[in-house]
Amino acid sequence: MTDMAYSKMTGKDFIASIILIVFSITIIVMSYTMPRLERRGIDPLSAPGVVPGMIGVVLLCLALILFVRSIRKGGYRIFQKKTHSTEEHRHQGALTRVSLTLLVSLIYAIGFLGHLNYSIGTGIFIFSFICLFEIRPGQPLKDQKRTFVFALIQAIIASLLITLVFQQLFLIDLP
Amino acid sequence: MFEGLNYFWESLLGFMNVRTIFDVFWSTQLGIIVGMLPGLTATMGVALMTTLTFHMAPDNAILILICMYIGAIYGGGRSAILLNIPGTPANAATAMDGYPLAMKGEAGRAIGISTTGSFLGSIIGMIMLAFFTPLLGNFALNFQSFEFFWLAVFGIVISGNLTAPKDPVKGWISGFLGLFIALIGMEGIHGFVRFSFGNTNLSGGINLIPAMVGAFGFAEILSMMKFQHVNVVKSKIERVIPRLRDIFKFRKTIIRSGLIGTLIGAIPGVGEDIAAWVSYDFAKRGSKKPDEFGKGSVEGLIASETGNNAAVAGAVIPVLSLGIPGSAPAAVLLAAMFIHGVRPGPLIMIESPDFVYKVVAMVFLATCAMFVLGLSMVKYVVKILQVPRTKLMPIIFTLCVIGSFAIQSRIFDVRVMIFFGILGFVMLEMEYPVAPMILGLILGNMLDTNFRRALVISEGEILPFISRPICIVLISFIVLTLVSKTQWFTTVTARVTEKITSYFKEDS
Repeated sequence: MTDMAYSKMTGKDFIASIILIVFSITIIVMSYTMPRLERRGIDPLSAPGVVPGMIGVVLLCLALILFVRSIRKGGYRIFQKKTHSTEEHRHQGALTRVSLTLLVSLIYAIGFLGHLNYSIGTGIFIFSFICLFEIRPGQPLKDQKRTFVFALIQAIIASLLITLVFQQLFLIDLP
Repeated sequence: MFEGLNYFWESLLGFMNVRTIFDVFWSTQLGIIVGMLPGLTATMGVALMTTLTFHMAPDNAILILICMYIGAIYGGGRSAILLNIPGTPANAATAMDGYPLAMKGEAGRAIGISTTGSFLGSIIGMIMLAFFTPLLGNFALNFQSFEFFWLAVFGIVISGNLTAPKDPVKGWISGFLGLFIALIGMEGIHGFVRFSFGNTNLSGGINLIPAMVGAFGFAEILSMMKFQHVNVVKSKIERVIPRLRDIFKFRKTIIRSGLIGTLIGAIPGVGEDIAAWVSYDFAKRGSKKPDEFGKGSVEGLIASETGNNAAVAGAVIPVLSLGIPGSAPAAVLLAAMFIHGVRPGPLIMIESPDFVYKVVAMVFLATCAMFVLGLSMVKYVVKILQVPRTKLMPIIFTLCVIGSFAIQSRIFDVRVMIFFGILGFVMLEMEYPVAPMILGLILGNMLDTNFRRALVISEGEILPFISRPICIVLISFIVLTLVSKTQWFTTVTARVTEKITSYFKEDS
C-alpha cells in the first residue's frame, strides 16, 4: 500500500471512529433507559436492554481503539490533505459512476415500484441505466442511435421475460 | 456409521428420477454462470434461488440451493482464469495462477485442472460432512445457554479475525454491528420491541435475505460500476479434459487442500475465500517449486480450487450440527432451511438424522453435475463473460429487488436491501469485511436469548459462564484469537519456537 493510500485510509478511519463512538454511546444510553419491566414481575437480569447495552460497550471500546490509532497516525489531518490531481480525477470519475448507479437504482426501487406497473417500471429502469453509461457525452446523439435502439430492445425483452418467468413460472409476487 | 451409509444410499436412490436429475443439472449450470459473472456472487445466487424455490417441496428446494452454491463457487474460477477477475471472492487465489496459465495459451488446461480440483475438494468435503456432522451434533447436545453464548461470541471474534487479516478490529466492529442490527425488533423472551422507533416494519426485525442480497448483491453492483472498463475475454480454449498425471502428481496437495478447506469452511462466518487462500499458502510452503506460484503454477491453481470447493461442504457442517453458518452462502442456506420447516441444530441427529445424509447425497449429486458440466460446453458458456456489465448490472439489480421482495411481499424489504447495499459498499471501501456483520445478524438472537436465559438460570451468578469445561475451552479460543495478531503474542511465539528448535538441535 502506498503512503498516500495509507494516510487516506487513516483519515477515513478517524471519521469512522467518531461516527462509531457517537453511535455506540447512543446504543448504551437507549439500552440503559429501556424499560426493565419490573412491574411485570420480570427478573431484571433478563431485561431487554442488557445485551444491547453490552454490545454498545464493546462497540465503544473497539471504536476508541480505532480512534486512538488513527490519531497516532495523523488521521485528523484528513481535511488538510490535498490529493494528487490525476488520482483526484480518477476518484471523481468513480464517484460519479457510483452516484449515478445509486440514483437510478433508488428512483427505480423507491419511486417506481408499487407506483408503476412492474414491467413498465423495470423496462424504463433498464433502458435508462444502459443509456446513462453507454452514451458518450462528447459525440452527437444522432451517431449513437444504435445504442438507444439496442438499449430499448434489451429493456423490453428483459422486463417482459423477468415478469413472465417469475410470475408465471415460479409463481412469485412482483412489486 | 453403517446406519449413515444406509441413509445416504436411500437418499441417493430417492433422488434418482428424471425430474430431480434435471433440477440438479439446470441449477448447477445456473450456479456456474452466476459464479462466472463478476457482480453476481454465490450468496446472491443462493438468496435469489431461495425466492424462486419458495413454493417447491423442501427436499427439492434445498437440493437446488446446494447445486447453485457448489456451481457458483466453482464457476467463479472461470472468470478468474480468463479475465483475472474472480467471479466470486472465493476465487481470488485462483486468479493468481489461473490467469498466468491462460496468458500462456493454456486456458483450457487451467479450466480442466480447476474443475478436477473443485470436484475432488468437494468430495473430500462431502466425506468430512458425513463424518463430522453427527459427531459435532452429538457433542453439541451438551451445550446449554452458557455455551451457546460463548459460541456466538467465538463465531464473531474468529470471523472478524480471519476476514480482516490486516486489521481484525475492523472485522470485530463489523461483527458487533451485525449483532446489534439483529437486536432490532421484538425480542424473543418478553416480546419487548427494541430500537424500532414506532415503525411497525422495524418492529418485526431485519430479515436476513434482503440484508444479504443488499450486502452481497447491490454492494457488488456499486463496486463493479466504479470501474470504467473491464477487459473482455479473448483467450482461446483448447483441450479441457485434464491429464491424469497433472492430478496424480499433486495428490498430496489435493488431499491437504481438501482437509484445510473443509476445516476453514466449518469455522463460523469465515468462508470459501479464506479457505482458498490458506490452502494456497500451505501449498506454496510445501511445494518443491514455490517460485512458480503466481506465475502459472498448476499446484497453486489446484490448491486454491480444491480448498474453496471443500469449504462449501465444510460450511454446511456447523449449519446442520449447530445452526450456525460456516460462510455467507451457507447463512442463506440456513435461512432457507428454516423457511422450509427444517430446523438444523444440535437436535437434528435426534429429530431427523436422515436429513443430514440427504444433504450429503445432495452435495454428491451437485459435485458430479459440476464435474460433468465443468468439462463440457466450456467454449459456449464462457461467451456469457463477453456481455458488458452496463447491460448486465441493471438486470442483476432487478433480480436483487425481486429476491428481497418475494418472500414476504413487502416494499420495506426492498428498502432494507438498498440500505445494506449502501452500507456494504461503504464498508468495502473502508476495508471492513461484510461477512462478520451478516454472521452477527444470524447470531444476534442466539447470543441475546442465551445470555439472558443463562443469567436467570444462574440467578445472576457469573461463575458458570467461566467455570464450565466447554465454556473454558471456548473462552481460551476467544482469548487466543484476540491476542493472536498482537505484536506481543507474535514475539513470544517466535521466541518459544526458536527455543524449542535450538533445544532439539543441541540434543541431536
